[in-house]
Amino acid sequence: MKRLSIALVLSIVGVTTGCGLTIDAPRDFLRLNSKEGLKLTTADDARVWVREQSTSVPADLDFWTEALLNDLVERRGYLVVSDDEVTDCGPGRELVCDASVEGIDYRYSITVYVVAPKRIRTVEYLAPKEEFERYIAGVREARGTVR
Amino acid sequence: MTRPAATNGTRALYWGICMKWVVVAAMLTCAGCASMPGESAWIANDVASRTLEASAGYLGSDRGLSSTVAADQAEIRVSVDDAPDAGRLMIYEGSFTIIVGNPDDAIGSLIRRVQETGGYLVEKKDRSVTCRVPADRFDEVVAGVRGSGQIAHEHVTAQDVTREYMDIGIRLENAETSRTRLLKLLEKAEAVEAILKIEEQLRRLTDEIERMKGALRYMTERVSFSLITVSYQAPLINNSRSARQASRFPWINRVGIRSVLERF
Repeated sequence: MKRLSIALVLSIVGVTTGCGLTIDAPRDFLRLNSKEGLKLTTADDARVWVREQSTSVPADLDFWTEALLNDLVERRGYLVVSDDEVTDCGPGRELVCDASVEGIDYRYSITVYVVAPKRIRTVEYLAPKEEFERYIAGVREARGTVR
Repeated sequence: MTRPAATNGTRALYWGICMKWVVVAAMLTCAGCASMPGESAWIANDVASRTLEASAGYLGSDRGLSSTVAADQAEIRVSVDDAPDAGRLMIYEGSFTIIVGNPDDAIGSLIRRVQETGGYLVEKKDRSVTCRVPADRFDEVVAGVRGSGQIAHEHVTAQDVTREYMDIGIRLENAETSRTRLLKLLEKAEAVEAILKIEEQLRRLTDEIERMKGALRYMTERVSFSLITVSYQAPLINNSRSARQASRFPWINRVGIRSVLERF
């Protein structure tokens, strides 16, 4: 109950981390202390991780998305469920994939934004496959509030 | 390897059955050649079933078949007619492991397809489905299963049970004949001891007959409906470092399911 209250308060005022990113936390999500971007989790362990990372070379969104897609599908064996353009927080691409790890089926969403010529922002959302739909709407809504 | 010496009677019976099947094969070939493709299967079934009937009658006539036996044989003949290839009684079975993106959807789709063919679900456990489909739709359903995803494992078998089916059929006729004789004896018997002995024999024979009928029914079911077992799996992440070269872009190596699970 206390956790939920904290989550609600944080979701109202927004969450700021040491990395400078903020997000209006989705309902039921609690922010964790981390210096590696924004980490939020639910009581049943759905996870959201927002990060900004530097790249050694500049490239546009199409290039980075294709590079990511190739790696996820060809090298890691993910199965792409959907691939959509998003505009909630500037132009971005959201990939939703399925994969199984140690006998558990997961559904994974990663949204990529190019926020500067050599800077990528990713919003990842991971949940056991059967739980994925429960939070995805809230995560997508919150994704648009990342600043 | 030396074969055990057969008695004249056994040898004669053996060659009798062999000759009958040579005749069946010849008649099937003729029927197939003389008819349109669409008709050939029907004619082959019809000829084979009548030949089986004739064989049973021939063997039975030596042993004095009763009307009860004839009625039971009619029941068996219906089953033979239903078989996909009456020339040979084949049991087809297939087991598959298929990798698909959404195992639950694939399971639902398979069950619907099986029901459309007139088949039925035998067992569903986790992500494994076992079902029976009409033997003449086996190839069609298997093709659908193969096309539903990436095949990780496939094992299809075909077992010819024609000889076994015939053997049980002949033993059943013999048992029915003996039972009929015992019933006639029972009508004439007067001594209590004799009546008890005959009744004991009748009980034993009746049990045996029921077992054989059950075996024939089971075999007919397996011939008429092929068994298909499909296990569905979601794609597995390749964890082998040697198999997976890291991306040349470090940020890509830092995202992904395993990263979220382990570094969160």
